[in-house]
Amino acid sequence: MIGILRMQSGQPEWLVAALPAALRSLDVNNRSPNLVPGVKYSQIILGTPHRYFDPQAYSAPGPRQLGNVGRNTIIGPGLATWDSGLFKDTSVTERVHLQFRAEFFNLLNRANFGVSQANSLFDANGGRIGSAGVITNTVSTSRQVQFGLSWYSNRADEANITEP
Amino acid sequence: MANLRHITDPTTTLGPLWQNDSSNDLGPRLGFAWSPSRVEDFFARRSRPALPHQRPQHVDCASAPISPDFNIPDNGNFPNALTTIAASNSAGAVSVIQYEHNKTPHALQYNLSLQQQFGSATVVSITYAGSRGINLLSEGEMNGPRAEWDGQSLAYPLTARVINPNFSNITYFANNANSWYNGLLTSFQRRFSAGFQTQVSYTFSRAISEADGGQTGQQISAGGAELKYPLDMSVNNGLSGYDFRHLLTVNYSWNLPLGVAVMESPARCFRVGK
Repeated sequence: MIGILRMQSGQPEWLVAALPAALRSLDVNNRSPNLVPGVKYSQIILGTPHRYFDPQAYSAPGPRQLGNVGRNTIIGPGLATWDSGLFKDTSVTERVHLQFRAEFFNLLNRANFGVSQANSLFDANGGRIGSAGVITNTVSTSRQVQFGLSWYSNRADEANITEP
Repeated sequence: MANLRHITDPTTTLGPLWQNDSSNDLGPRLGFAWSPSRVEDFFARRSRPALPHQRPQHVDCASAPISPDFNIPDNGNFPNALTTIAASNSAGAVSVIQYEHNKTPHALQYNLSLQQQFGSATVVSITYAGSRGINLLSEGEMNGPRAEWDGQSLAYPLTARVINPNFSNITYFANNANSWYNGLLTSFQRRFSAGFQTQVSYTFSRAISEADGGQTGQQISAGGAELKYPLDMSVNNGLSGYDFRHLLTVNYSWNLPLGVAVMESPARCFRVGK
């Protein structure tokens, strides 16, 4: 039996706001929202795919503002996967073997959500975008189980190897 | 190759073809391994190689839209390019690369690893690994004016105008970005009785950069990143899209005491599966 468990923090994400025409004419390419004063990070992260972060924690930047939220200030959902496998060897002859394999990927069937693609909070007129903070993708497969049967034979050089 | 020599030039200047100066692409490495004479099964390793990256391919690709003539919108004469250019009354957008004093992006990578074996079945290691990226590629709109702090955010005054009115957009590719990575890696490996063995690895790290992708590390592209405010790189400093603060990995292998025990390693199992 073998297995690999992997757990890691989420990926950072950059929140942005659409550019009004006045800034586009100044060759500005992107900007971010403003953070509402007094809001703490723990209050921003809601943690659900329906609304991973709270858009109300941010306000629309002024028509000529770049916004005061920095790059990659939101940490996306973490990832956890557990892959495992069971192998059973059966000797047919001294050199010929059969191996039955049962392999499980994402054994716990955990939904590993990606970062929110809806990272734009405000439109060019400063209006809120309703889908902000919604996660619509996962970054790992659902549980997958596969069975296999393989046949193999020892090579001549391996047959001479003995355990110490 | 046509390129803007200065941000306020009215038009591009035709110069020599871009030459890849590979004379600076040196990668010296320095390292040592040390096993104290009175402490058995203890090893220390350290290295500090300087590994300049080769000049990125996309710099050459960027030379295609350098001339503004290729960025003018269709004015009804497509596909006749010459007529389209002649009928254009706007210089449009231009892509510019850092023409002079262009520096080769490079990275300094350094690590220190301590490894201790306990008995014949347990190995513990602790490693510090760091990486420092210097003169990395960035992409920004350089025709924007200087913004001022208004008490809440950087903002453009009402009187602000583009720096060079001859162009609507000046997309500037420069080797002026930095990155920092520091990580602590720990590992515990043990072979138990009855054929059970496991390895537990944990990494605590932080990656900071001034440019890596449009919005996240997933959007890293050959063209680098669009900076939020290219006139002050400190505004763009933040977590890298590659920053994963915690990483825990556990792997195990166990020969179950079912039927005839067959001594198999995970590597053997995967090899057989090919």
